[in-house]
Amino acid sequence: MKQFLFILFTFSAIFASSQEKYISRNGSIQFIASTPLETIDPINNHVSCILDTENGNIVFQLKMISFKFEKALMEEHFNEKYVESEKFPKATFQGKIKDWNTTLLNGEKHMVLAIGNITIHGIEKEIIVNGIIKTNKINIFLSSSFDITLADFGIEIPKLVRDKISKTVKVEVNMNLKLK
Amino acid sequence: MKRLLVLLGCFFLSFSSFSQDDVLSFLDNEDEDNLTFATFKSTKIINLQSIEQTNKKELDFVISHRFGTVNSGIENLYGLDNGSMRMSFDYGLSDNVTVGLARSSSQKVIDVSVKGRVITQGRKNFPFTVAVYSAIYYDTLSSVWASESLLKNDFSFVNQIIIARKINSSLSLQLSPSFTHYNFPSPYPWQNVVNKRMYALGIGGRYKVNRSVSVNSEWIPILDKEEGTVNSFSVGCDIETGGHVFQLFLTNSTKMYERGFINETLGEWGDGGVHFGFNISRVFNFN
Repeated sequence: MKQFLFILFTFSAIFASSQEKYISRNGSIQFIASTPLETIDPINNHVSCILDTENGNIVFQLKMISFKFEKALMEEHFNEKYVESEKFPKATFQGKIKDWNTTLLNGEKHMVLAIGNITIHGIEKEIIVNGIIKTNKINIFLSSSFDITLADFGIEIPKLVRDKISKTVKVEVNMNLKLK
Repeated sequence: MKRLLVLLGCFFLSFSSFSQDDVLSFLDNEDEDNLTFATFKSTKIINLQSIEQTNKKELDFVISHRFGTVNSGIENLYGLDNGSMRMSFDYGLSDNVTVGLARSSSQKVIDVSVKGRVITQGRKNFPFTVAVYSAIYYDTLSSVWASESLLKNDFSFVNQIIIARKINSSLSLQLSPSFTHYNFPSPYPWQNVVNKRMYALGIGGRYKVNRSVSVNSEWIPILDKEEGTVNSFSVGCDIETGGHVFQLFLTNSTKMYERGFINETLGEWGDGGVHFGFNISRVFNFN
């Protein structure tokens, strides 16, 4: 019986270690909705991400309330009037890195495509974004830059301030993942 | 058979662990506090101080008017011909401490105030946001009335505890127990006691109609009301447009400082002693 248990634990240890998951809880996502009238470039430094290096599955998650704006009033309006953070506290991306293979982790810089579903303001949309993946011995660095249209996610800009807020928003992602 | 089951169980457990819902819950940081924000749109409900603070290094400039009685006829444009005004400057020393300086044309009162937030709703699941508010009023006219013209006779004080709860994203309620102390023998016919003390309970709330407009109301019953005065009652709406908040309302109080509208309101709603008023707030950022 003792031998059996020993084998069982060894096996479960092997199963666990064969799951090559890289994670981060303090990645950064910035979005830029600036116009000539107003600078809007908040940053969120508490983005979580998990990448499975076996199959290229990748998940991002962030709390809307963690976006920090230069002006406190703008931050309040963002959460209260635009993305409704109390109703929809999180934004997520769940998808896959296209044509995943282990050569992507050879230390060189590689251009990749991520395909999946992005959810903001409770609305889910399919999205394909360009990104860069680079590794050193310990970490995986991910970066990406893409545009989203606010109207696609049901985020309306009141007529009074329509000249102050850009209708398309540039999103910049920077992640530093460590082995779990 | 048992062993086989255990083995199978372990096998499935180790493979099923990367379903994407599991990953999302794994990424959650549930130990973080979700602090409530935007309980009210402005630092005032109508007359009463709301739980909201001016943010750090921001200056909130509020200009307020109360006009004559609404039933004073078309010849006075329903009261708009007569009005009193107040200018106030509130500055956020930190996100939790605001200092203010204001002057009201009614009785020519200058006041300085401080408002401090003690705890925010949501911190360790605490159900309320609690703040304290304290103001000193200097009546630049009162020495004319006082029997002895001593400087100390020109001062009065209000202390408030503000307890508010944002019940959901639309509805917020607030209680403001208040204590007023008059240093001076009051000029008002209903009061001739030196060093008068009065207690009142402010009750207020707001309901958001849409993301930019809310309906607000407040009622301030006095516990030991003097004859001739009435409890302040106001109803109105907030309209928020980017950096401005416009508050438009009807109220039976014409004084815009706490001591005045809590204890010295004379207009009866039933007799048409109702005034139109507004507050306009503009925030300037010094970050």
